[in-house]
Amino acid sequence: MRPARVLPIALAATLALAPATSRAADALAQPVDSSTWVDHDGRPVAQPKLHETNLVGHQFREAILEPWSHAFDVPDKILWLLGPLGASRKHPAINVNRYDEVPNSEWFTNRNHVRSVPPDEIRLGPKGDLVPKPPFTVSKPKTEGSTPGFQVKDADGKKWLFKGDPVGFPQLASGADAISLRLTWAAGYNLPHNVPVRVRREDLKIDKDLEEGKEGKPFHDVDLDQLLTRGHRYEDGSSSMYASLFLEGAPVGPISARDRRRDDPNDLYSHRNRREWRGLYVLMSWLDSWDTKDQQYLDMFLAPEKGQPGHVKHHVLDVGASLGAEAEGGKEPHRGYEYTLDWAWMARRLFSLGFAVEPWRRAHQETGIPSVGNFAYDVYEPDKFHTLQPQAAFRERTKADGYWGAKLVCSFSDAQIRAAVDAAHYDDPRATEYITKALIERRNKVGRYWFGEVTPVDFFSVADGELRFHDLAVDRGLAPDRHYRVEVRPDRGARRTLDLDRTRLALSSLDPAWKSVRLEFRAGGSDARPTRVDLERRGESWAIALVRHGE
Amino acid sequence: MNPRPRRLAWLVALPLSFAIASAPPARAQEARFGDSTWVAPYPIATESGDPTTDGPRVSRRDREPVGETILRTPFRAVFYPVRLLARGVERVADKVLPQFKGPPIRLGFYTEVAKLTPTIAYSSDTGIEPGFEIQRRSFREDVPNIRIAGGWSTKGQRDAMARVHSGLDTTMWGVGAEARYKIVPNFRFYGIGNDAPEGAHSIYRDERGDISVFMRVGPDPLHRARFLAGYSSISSAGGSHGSPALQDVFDPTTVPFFGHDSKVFYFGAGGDFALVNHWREPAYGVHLRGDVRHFESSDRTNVKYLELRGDVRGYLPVFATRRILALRLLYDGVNPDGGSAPIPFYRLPASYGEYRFLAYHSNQFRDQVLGIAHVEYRWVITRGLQAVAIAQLGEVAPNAKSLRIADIHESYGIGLRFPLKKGTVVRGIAAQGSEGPQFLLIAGSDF
Repeated sequence: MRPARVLPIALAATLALAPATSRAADALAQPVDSSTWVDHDGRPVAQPKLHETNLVGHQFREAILEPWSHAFDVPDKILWLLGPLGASRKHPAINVNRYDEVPNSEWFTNRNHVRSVPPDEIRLGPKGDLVPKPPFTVSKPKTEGSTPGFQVKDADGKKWLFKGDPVGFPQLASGADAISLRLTWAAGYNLPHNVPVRVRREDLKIDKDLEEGKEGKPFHDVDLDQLLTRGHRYEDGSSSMYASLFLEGAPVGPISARDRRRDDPNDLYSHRNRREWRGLYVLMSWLDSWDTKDQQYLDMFLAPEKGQPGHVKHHVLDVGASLGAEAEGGKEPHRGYEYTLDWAWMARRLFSLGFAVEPWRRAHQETGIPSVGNFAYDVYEPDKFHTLQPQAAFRERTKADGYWGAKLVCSFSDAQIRAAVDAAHYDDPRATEYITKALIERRNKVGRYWFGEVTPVDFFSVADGELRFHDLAVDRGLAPDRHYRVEVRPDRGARRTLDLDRTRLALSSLDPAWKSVRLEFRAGGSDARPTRVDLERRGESWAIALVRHGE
Repeated sequence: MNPRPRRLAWLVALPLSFAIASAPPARAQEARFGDSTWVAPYPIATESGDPTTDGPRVSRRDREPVGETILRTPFRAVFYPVRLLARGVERVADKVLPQFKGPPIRLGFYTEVAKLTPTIAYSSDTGIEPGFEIQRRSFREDVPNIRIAGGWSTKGQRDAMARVHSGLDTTMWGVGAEARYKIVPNFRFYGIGNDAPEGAHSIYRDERGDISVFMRVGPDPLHRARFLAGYSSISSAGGSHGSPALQDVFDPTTVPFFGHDSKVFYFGAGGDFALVNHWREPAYGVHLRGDVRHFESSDRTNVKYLELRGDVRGYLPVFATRRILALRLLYDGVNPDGGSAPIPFYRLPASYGEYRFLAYHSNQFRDQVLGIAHVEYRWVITRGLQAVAIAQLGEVAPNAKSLRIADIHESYGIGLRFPLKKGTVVRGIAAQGSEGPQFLLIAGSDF
């Protein structure tokens, strides 16, 4: 068939199919309320099928095919050219409420940035003070990879996955995992409960079925000893590991960073358009958590009983390859700065005959501390962070998403960061000191960057005849007290400008004849994009109708 | 109390209390974002809600604007095969390749003793050549390594080899034996001498067998002596699977031993000596390699000659080890003993393999002496992949004294170099010479 005939058919098919698929997705027929603080995406549904994505196939797609097809995305370039006419290549995140926040859902729970999580809770992690209790029965060894690992049942019958630190790097992976996991969890994401452990050989015994080889090769004490030699061991023979509590429910596969899960009617929004996923980029950048492929996320199906309807809960599964760590040892220097196949940098190196100097070569990443690895903060640039391979949701992020992510990061106080670092229980005090300092410095860089891109006025409320708000840069200590210029655009009458010298606007300054008004806030001395607040007249007072940052 | 200090106390306390009372409300009294007391003015800060209960969604399903859909649809249709490929690879790879969970790629049958793997090769001359390889790697000093391989191409090329050797790279001693057999029905021949244009191309049938024993002494591959002895038989005849035939282009009487067999015994010694920073991928240092072999006919042909091979490699980093200037000088010369019959044409040094003139066909040049000067600049463009810019000068001559600068064949090229884990290097090169461009994809040992 000639292309001239194919194109109209494809166009017609696309347009015809679009409403049909949306009808199927909206099968639960829930009402829509943009002011809600809870996105009810946990309604009972049938269990989706377990689907697994091939790792190498996924990397081939994300690292090679997608970047190249994106490079030749002609409509994208047309939309870019039409930018001055109002066209946009990127769409705003879909799941934000009128306050420009993400409602609680099976993906995300508003935590530290709306209510400070006590440092003790951060130190303990998602499941509080739960730790694996010896003796441990090894039920399944992990044969792949360079570091040891195995599934165990502890004395209370709880299932854990134990993973070891690389030889010569005690507490490297376990420490990075403990810290990054707690901070990511406190920021609002769902994660497993992981704790660093020091495992004594005498606390390990082998499950009888495993020893007899009922489901494969027999596994004996000598095999376990051999396995343990692949990880770091202390002088007393104990192993430096971390324990990860099995997630509740039944796994139904990794999560695509691009598309929604079509067999889950609760999953309405394309994942690349979810604010919490786009904003996760900023958090991962802060933590230098570069290994963010789809397989690092996991959907679990939770139902009262097997076979009954339930709902899917979405988890960030593994943030262990972060800070200065990698499974085999210290993070390779280019991680976090380049994709594995970074076509732009490859071209730069090719045409410069290898004389292009990459930022990671200038960064002083080698800390010389075995339990820290390679982790820098001096040349860290928050928006230049690169993951293992391009990720659809991260690529689609807008300034508003970046600002929101920065809000999560900057919500952590020095004390909270210190508490998260304490959770690693580093034997080497230099590690505690260095990582705490690095995370504080990186947090401040995140704040300075994103709060310089988008005017960081937020948490608007109406009380006592005033519109009150917070300047996050000032609250965080990244900017001195400053004044604000507010452009007032009423529904009728002329625009005007108000100057504020504090984070309050007297509503009496607004004309009572107006039914609605749009306020655009800019911070003095900053050329960041404005923050917009729409107010609606409600009787004698005003109510917040919409807040949008940097759009 | 003494009245004087009391008055002083009032003098201090009164202004202080006035100052405190008249000061604006301190910002520190408000909860600040990021403080331990921070609570946002949102209901969600105190009541988290339950997403599993009945309630609204924050938005409808996201939809692309219709205008954008119209704009994108033609391009989506055109690129649909690519998308299909991407999704297919992601979804189907597990089913198609059950063992293909991640590197290393494992195809074939693996047992604890050995592995049997299929092999496949292709060139325009030989066609597709499926084959096999059986390999047993012992990783132990006292257990021999064995490798057996073979193949049969669609254009009649057949080859087989068997090799057994003991000793590891880390052991001082190693001994082994090797047998090879190969028949090529359309081996290329361009004549003898430095003036062998591409247009002189002809083919003949080349069949050769070789068996040898060898011993090596040395602590590592960079400091090692080698000794070997063997027996070689080669025959030539009119070819097939191509044209024109050798005898149609050249006078067979001018091509020594065309149509005749040659059987020789040989023995020799060689060695490696290197001072480099890395044995596989050096960034700086020097590597010297040499071999000398004596050949003597075992039939009545009275062929006796000495073959000398020299290989000098130098590596120089250009301000950093990711940029390397690599230099290589290669020499291969045969020197007939007094009274020897002419050396068979198929035993003369020829421009193939490591000795290939890059912008010319493999085996295009052959004579008693062959020399190459090769310089290349390598630079890393991504982890494990280098770009190379190459300049190469090559010449053949009847003897070393006849090598002249004016007769040199020049090759200039650019390409990519991809070192694999086990010492094999894959190169893709576009080279330009006086006869036009050549595009090469080479996998094998490299310098």
